[in-house]
Amino acid sequence: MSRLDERYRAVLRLLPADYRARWEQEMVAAFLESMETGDPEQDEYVRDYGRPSWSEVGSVAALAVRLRLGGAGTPRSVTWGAAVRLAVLMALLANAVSGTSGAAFRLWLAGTLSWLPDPPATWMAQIPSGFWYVSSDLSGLFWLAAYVAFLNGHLAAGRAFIGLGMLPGAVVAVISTVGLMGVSPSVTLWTALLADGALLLGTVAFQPGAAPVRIRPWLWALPVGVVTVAGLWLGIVATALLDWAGLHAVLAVAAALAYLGGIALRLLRPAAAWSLALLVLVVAVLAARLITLLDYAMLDPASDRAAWLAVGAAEAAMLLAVGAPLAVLAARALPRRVPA
Amino acid sequence: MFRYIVAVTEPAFFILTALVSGPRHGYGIVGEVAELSHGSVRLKIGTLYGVLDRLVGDCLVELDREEAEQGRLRRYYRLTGSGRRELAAEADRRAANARIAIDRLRAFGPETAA
Repeated sequence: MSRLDERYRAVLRLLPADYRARWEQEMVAAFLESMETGDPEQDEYVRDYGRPSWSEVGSVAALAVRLRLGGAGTPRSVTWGAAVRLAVLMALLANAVSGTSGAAFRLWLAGTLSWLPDPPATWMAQIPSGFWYVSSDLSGLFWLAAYVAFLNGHLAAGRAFIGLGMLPGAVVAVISTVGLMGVSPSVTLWTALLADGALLLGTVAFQPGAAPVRIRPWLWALPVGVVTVAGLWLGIVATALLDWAGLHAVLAVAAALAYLGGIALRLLRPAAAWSLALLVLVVAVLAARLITLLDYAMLDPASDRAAWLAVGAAEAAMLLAVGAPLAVLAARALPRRVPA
Repeated sequence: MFRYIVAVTEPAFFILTALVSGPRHGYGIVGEVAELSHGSVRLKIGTLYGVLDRLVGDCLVELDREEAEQGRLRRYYRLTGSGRRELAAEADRRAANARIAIDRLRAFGPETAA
């Protein structure tokens, strides 16, 4: 076996074992043939020092993602794929809800929603204005567009809207890090950006062949979520006790409690994909909550530091409390691994 | 299922077309597709076997024979009857779509627009 052969087989390890058992020999033979130049000396060199090109590795990686998450693999990978798609949709729903609420809130402050009562003058002074803040709030509508695009199966458009939705956050994160425009460095900004990046990565689970989404319940969840979050946000302005990670912690805990409560009351039957999806979300939000507490740990002790840390710790505890039963449900329901 | 694959992936369409003239092995398909598409579709091995796996699963392509060439496994694949029929239907659909576009372009050409 040549070194080139070994290197290509190492790349093929990305693929599920059962798929490799069927196709590996053939893929290796076709790949080695594709690398031949017809010049014996050159071929000898390539066999020793050649490597699969990045595009070749990319094609195997794309195939691995499709097989593992796209709904065409083993029962275990199909469940994981369904769970990642559900987690992505729930995260997109959360972003669409908070993005739409944020944009509506900004429009309300600007006096565009004239049919609503005027906002209190004290709020106007509290909410930062300026081009980036306003465009960042209005760009929340890109998340709404992304959510609707994914529900309707327009994957490329959905990914493009996610990218657009991430743009203002990325700009503000960079500005804060280089210390421009008086924005102080923030772990939260980068964590939010990282979370959105993970969400974008998770959309690879939407592949041709995956089960279609039942659109109606997801669409109904949107106005319900906007009303709920708008209520919570009015609470933020009044009490300033809920930040970005806290809001997501509350939403994740509420979703998990609704699911676990439904099972406890025998209104719902545990489903592997839902248990796993909620567990993935709870773990991601817990990580974001713990990391973003660093921002508060660095605050002046004379400020609200203790209150913020206490609220953050309580949110982390709630996430752990709902995460444990979800982990048990997911572990019980996930199909066993197929021996290689 | 096939209509969906072909409708969205150029590679599946070309792989089936490459098999019309007779059975081919993996790398033979890569070469034939490159030639048929005048070099515009250059299949990577991961892409080829991803599509081939689905086409075999949908019974549009089947194994013809196995050979060993310089110690390497070569499996030859051929088009099935349903593969040929589906390819013909898809080619008709594409041709009809192309005709619509051409007719539109003729009807609303630059001279018409001006």
